[in-house]
Amino acid sequence: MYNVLYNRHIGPSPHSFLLPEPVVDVGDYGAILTTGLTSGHQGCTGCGMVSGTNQVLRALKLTGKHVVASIGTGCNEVITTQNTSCWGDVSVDHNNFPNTGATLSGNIAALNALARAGALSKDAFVNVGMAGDGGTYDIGLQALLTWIARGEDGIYVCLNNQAYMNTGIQGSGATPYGTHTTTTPFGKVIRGNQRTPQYLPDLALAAGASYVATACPVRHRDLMIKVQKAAAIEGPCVVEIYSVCPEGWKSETDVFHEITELALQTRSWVLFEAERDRKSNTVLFTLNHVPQEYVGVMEYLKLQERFSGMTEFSEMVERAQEIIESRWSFWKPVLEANGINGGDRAHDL
Amino acid sequence: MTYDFTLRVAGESGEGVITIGETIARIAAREGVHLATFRTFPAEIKGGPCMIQIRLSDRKVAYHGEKVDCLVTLNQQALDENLADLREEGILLCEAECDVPMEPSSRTAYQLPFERLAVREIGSRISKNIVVLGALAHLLKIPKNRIEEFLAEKFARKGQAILEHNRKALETGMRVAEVKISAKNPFKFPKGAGQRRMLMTGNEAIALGATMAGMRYFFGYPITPASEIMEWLALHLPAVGGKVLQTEDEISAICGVAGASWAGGRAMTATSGPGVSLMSEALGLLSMAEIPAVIVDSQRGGPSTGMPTKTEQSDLLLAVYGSHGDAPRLVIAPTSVEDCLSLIGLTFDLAEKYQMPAIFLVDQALSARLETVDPNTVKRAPAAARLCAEGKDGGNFARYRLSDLAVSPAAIPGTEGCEHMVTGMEHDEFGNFACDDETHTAMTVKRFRKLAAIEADPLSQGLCSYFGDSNAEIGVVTWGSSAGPVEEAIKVAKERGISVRGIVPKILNPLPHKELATFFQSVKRIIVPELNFVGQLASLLRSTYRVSTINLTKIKGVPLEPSEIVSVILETAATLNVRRASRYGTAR
Ligand SMILES: Cc1ncc(C[n+]2csc(CCOP(=O)(O)OP(=O)(O)O)c2C)c(N)n1
Ligand code: SF4
Ligand SMILES: [Mg+2]
Repeated sequence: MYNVLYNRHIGPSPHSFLLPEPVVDVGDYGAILTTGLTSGHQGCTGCGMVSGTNQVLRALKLTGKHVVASIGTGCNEVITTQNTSCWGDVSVDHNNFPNTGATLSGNIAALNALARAGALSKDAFVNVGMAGDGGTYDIGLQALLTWIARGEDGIYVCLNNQAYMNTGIQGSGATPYGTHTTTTPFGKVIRGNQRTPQYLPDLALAAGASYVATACPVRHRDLMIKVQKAAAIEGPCVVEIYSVCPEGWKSETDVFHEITELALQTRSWVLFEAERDRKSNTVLFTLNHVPQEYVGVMEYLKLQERFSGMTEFSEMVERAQEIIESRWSFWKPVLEANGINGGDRAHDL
Repeated sequence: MTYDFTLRVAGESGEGVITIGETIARIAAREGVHLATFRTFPAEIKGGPCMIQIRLSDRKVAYHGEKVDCLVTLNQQALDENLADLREEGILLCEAECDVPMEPSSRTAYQLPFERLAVREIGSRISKNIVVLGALAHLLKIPKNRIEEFLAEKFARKGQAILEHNRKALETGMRVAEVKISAKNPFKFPKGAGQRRMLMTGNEAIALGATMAGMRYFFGYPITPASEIMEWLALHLPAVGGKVLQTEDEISAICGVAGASWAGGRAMTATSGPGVSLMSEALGLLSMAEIPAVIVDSQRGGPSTGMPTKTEQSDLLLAVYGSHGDAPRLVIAPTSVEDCLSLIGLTFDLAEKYQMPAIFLVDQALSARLETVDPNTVKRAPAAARLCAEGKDGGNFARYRLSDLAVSPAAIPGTEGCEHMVTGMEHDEFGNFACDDETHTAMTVKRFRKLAAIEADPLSQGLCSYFGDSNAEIGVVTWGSSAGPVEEAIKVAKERGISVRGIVPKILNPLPHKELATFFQSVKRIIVPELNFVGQLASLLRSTYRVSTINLTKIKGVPLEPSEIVSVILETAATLNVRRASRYGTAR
């Protein structure tokens, strides 16, 4: 357990109360000269994960450190390993599917040993792991949580596209309620995914992460600052990135931006960060974004064929809205402090 | 005259290549034609070269064919990569823009502007494959009504507009082909037996066969090329009162199976090599605790993540030995889609009867290939059950009773008076932990006695296929999906005057000793073709029978080709003073 402290300020917060100085300001997105993922990857058109990975790498390279990445099996690995030059000057270790957390430990142990032997400076590298939601919520959860529990330094990025895409769109522990996937087919007897998805930030904080943040690739600055904070903060840090997948969501390839924005407006995806102060055993929660208007979840579901079954059943849409509201209620103290009453903003189903 | 025709359609993944091939296959199957197919999958998520090959025949075929009679290519790369496999007098149907080599002149090439027709006349590039289908239907003389009927069913759910759109594309293809393709082309659409044949993939056959065998509990985790088994079951198992549970990894999948099976159900999981690796600790548990379970392993290129979309037969030793300790299990390896359907039922029967794990070993090529199957195969009923105590055992039930029998009665949890503990610790008759030498020896012997009993069981007889001449000096032993190419190669060798005898054991642990020992005595040379690097079946045979083998191994991610096997047969024949088949009056 830990004490919960809310940051009264809502909005992107470049400052960290754990860090003596602000992290490097990434500045205007267009002005950044560093390259992240370069050309040659084989991601689908409109893939959110490609953009997410690109921004993670840019942010890390801006720190001036050598990036050492461990990647778990999944789309991110498959699309970047057929032409590995797209990683540029990043050192990459593709381990097995379940092991991203464990690989982070192995890497940091060896890099620290090199630093002790004087072969490297301790600040010369940044240790980052990347895996999909299947590789994080399901098969990789044990390795991830025990890595966090060991308290080692590093960043774990979960590229969450809410299903096992690389193997043909099977449901995962992160698949939203009611979604049609090949293993949670929408039928007459069972209507799509019946489980309420797990919530990675809860799991990571319970395990003892130093810093946990959610991000999405259409809020570049926010995403990149979070990654840089994660690089600067001691201990295990987790950043979860919302990743549109036109292939698996059965959405048009040109509405990546719209879908992501709608995810924010419907609060299906909430941007926030949580920093742990170990001395006082306190976690400070900052809400980074409150939509101008709360849009009903139906608007979000409508754009994606994976939800086409559930949108025919009003009780299912209501359930989806309930899941959103119950998560949102966590932010009540902050909203009230800012004169925003959670229930006040209108939405229709 | 027998009808034997091989068609290949090649292009870029996403161009609708597979739809073209599958449509032809399904229409042929409805006419009662036999067929076998092969398809490749690109390693990329989108795009990448892919092809489907279909062999049609009025007889049962075990192999998808080597050289093709008709090649359809949708782009230049597909043409370049596949042309070498077209027969010298074959027919090529390709996109108008492509460069087609002039040689050999015996070849006929038809170049039609599929893409332009789709864009200009139909108004959508993605209709290109249906335009191609129309031209191909004309070339193969498929009756128009058959293909229209089929499309009407296929697109019925998508609404009238889409159906009309596709019908128009089909007609455009046919119309252009009528003008461009010589009426003298030699093809005719085969006349089948008229009786519709069932057409399914190996994975579908496994899922259906398991359901027919009474499997009601499936625990799985997605992995190529086995995922379709879970996907099929997720759709169909609830309808018969079954349950599909997707676990968080393969360790949980197999342990779920262990739980459901101990509780009395028929339970299964399906995975590929990486999953079996994770399951191997639990394989030992199932052996030790004597719990029936069926584990499907659809092999892919390994080790580690390896070549997920490519085929390989490199998990044999993992299947036979994987796990620590002495852990007996049953290993069954079907050779065809029809085998998948029938042998999965037998696998359940044997696993239940002998209370042990059973691995059903297939590979990507077999999992994914469409093949016609005899509808009667579906009707197989369970032929054995678990030996269970009736209850009221005085409250002192010896789950692991030692006797001369192969198995001791199990008890479904809740059977009154038969409360007991199953355990992965070494145990005495009552399940109490015991690690004295006497108990460990007696229990290990008990568990291994099952293998000898399986070998003698009438249920597991007749699990070898034989090909070729029984008096040949050259023998070929193979397993799994390599059986088809071997059968074909033996026919070709015979045409070249060399007698060969082939044997394919479909049970690989325990090996069918009587049949293999007799076989080895009858031949002078033993060739073992298989899809792995070290020769895994060969090493099992060498160590079990002390025979020497000529290993033919291939790790290119695709099935063996008959010609590769034939050349090793020829080389081997040269080292032997082989009796020419002609002496027996059989060669032409
Ligand atoms: C032990 C093991 N089990 C299963 C697989 C098959 N597998 C590879 S990638 C993948 C899905 C990845 O899903 P996710 O982590 O969500 O990443 P995505 O492809 O969606 O980005 C699976 C099931 C494997 N490689 N290893
Ligand atoms: S399948 Fe989805 S996650 Fe994978 S590359 Fe394509 S769009 Fe991206
Ligand atoms: Mg995913």
